[in-house]
Amino acid sequence: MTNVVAESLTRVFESKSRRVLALDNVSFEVEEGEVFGLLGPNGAGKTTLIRILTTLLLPSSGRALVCGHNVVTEAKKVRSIIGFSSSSERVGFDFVTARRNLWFFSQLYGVRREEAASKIEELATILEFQDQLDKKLYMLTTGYKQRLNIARALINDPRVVFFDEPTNGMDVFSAKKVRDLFKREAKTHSRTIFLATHNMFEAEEVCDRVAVIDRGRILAIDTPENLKSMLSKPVVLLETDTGGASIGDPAQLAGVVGGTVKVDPETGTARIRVILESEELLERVLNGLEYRGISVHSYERLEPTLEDVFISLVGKGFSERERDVEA
Amino acid sequence: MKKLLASIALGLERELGWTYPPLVVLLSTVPATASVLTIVMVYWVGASAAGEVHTGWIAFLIVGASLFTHLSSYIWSPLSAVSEGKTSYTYPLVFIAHSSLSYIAGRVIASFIESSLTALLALGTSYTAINLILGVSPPLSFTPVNLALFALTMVVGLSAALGLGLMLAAYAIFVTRLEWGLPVYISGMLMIFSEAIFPVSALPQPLQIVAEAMPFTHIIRASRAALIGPLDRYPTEFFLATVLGLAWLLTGLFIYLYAEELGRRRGYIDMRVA
Repeated sequence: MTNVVAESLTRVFESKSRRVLALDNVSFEVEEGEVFGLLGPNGAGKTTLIRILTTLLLPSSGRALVCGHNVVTEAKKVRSIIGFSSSSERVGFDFVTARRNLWFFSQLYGVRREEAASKIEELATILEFQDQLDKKLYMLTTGYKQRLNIARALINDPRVVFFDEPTNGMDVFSAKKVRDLFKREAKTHSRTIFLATHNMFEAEEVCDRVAVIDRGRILAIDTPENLKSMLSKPVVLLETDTGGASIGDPAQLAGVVGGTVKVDPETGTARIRVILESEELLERVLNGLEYRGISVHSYERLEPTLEDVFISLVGKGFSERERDVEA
Repeated sequence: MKKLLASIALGLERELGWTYPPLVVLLSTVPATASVLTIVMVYWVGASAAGEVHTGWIAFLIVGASLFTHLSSYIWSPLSAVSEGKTSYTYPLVFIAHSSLSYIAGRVIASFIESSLTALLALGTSYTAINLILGVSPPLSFTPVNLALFALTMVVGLSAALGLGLMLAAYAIFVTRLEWGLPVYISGMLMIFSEAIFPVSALPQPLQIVAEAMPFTHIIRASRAALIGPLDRYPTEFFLATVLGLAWLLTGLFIYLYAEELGRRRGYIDMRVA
């Protein structure tokens, strides 16, 4: 059964001084029990898409359905079957305990009192914050607030749950637990988990399918494995010494599809990750770097990641793209 | 109803839970009492100088000023429920739970309960203090009948409070900065138009029409009729307070629902407030 449908969704934000196309003709479908990832850098349009699907925002054009209900004309029905957890660190009522925060939202969804009480205990146990339940929200650490936020999104037993950067600010172990919870919720309760993230590892680990989004457009949708296998071009990591020279945009190098650069300002070394047009062009790339005054110590061929898929589609990595958006 | 009750409970917890609840009530009562006493003292000094002190005017001021502090304190809650709720992301979550109306109503009712308690304490404390300090006994009747009529007026005032609350909540949807000044401006307007400390007849003619159209004017008049008299004025004022309160409630409801739809179209529902 298809739980989420987007058909040619477009959203334009207009003000006196500018017009921003936040979503551009986005279409996709997500099945029941599927963990679906929306992967893209900040400013790609992930949050705008979630805002429309959760009925917080109206689309400029196009149509979206959640469990067969139109998000514009049947918002009430949509709201009763979804859960949502935003990326915000401060979500909830500060002077109210974690338990009462969860209880309040359970009542808004009409959950029976006894059921709500046991659900709160169950979620707190799974997310390991039972001992924090009776503390007021302002006393909780960021990590516990995030867990509470996730528990709140599940309190009404929703059929579709939207998570926007849910593991931001979480430690590695907590993030792992949350990802395991997502998989379990999807498989055992047939919930659709809709996950917006810019964490490639997270998307790869937890998602059945991933949509790569950039500047409001979906560039590719498939399983993480298929997306990576579609990338037939070689990915190479170059360890270099810049000697103070500027590397610039790796995509400007002849034979390079795109790439990312991580410079260590203290040592003057840089790690350049590039996707080549073909294996044979490596020599040409090395010569190009030498010509710019950058010496290459070593290089190695890597297995492609989802960021490489993004680079092959856009020509730039996430951080470079985010800088473009900010500019 | 479940949503409304949960919102009232949360509102009370939010209003009283930031420190010990009795301390909250005390902290709210002290400034309310102080403002009533200030207004009465200003009158006392002026009237004494003119040699014309009327205890009836003192009773008029005690009731009006106590209720004014009541009105001006609960108009904070809808603004806070929405604009502060956008900062803490609680308002968008309540909106997604399809409960924004119940939530705002619940928060206004919770604040109404808290400020009613404060107003009653301020009324009683001011009356006692004036007796002790000035040695005069303002003609206020605290018989069960008088108090019952007064309580009934306050309950009827709830619909006007909700109406005003929803209008302020509608405004707060589009607020992008925390505008804490707004309730102060509104309570200033209420002081002028609601007959809190001077009769509407003292206003220029066109402004009298505005004052007469406000339910708060009739709530205060009905309260005065209940506690000071004459009681035969009570039914008319009570009726006007009820009808105008309901009219304000319906207007507030319409404005809020329209603002919500507009906010959804323009992306303001979950816009962060700086």
